Amino acid sequence: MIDELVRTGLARFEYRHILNHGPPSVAAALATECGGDQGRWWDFHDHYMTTQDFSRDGAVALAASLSLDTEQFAQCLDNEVHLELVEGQHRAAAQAGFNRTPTIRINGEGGAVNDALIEQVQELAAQLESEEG
Amino acid sequence: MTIRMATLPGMLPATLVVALLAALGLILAACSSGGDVPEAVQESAVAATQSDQQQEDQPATSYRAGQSETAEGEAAEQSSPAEAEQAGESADEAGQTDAPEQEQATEAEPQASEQSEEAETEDATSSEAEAEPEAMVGQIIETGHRAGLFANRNVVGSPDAPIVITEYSDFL
Repeated sequence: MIDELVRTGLARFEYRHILNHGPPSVAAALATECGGDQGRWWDFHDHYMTTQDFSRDGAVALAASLSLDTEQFAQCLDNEVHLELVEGQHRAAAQAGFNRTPTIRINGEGGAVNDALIEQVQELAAQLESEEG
Repeated sequence: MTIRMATLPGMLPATLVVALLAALGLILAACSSGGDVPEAVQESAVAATQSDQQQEDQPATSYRAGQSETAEGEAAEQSSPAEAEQAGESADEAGQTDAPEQEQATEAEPQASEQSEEAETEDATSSEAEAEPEAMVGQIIETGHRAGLFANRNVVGSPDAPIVITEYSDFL
């Protein structure tokens, strides 16, 4: 549903890190942001969502398979360049009371994914489509 | 009789002399009364008239010279506005040359102010550098993004989309 809304221009999708599982969560978040430095943020996102390999070697291997600059990528990981960013996003979510993952917000409202939220999105999309039509 | 014979031939010349004198008298009377004028007198009179005309022409020439002088005066007058304009232009140029100086002066002030602003900026930068982590974290908390990074790296879709779906998640 989200893909359809994004493709039609009705919705924009944003991702924010929550680090509920300690070092593996931080490692995955940092690797994703380091991949984002070279324009492959969503490739790392999809990789971690599917493989659940959070090791450093796995992240560097993925960077190599995506033809990224592995030296730059490794330095980014080892220096924890984006630690403030991912911790900041986690802190923001914690301050807003978002403890469960995933938490979905629609135009700043909502919470955990449930049928009511999906219906809300569908109704909003239908309303926008009718207004455009 | 001989006398008559002798007188007769003598009398003829005397008659001719009288006639000639009478003719001269008539001529003199005609000259005094403005009648017919002999050609020589007419020629002399014409020459005198021409000389008079030439003398009359001289003032005209002098008038023309006056005109020329006037023209020169007009030219001078024309030149004087031109000179005035040139002077004005030169004054303008001088003004223009003064204006950049003023601009330079006015530019110098902003430069000085810019330098002071730069100094202030450096001070501010140093103070911002101390406050940067907190500000950065605050920005990240507020927007989810960090300044200097590609803001849409974790975003897909149109920035103008009416629906904003934000997922807070963990990869585990």
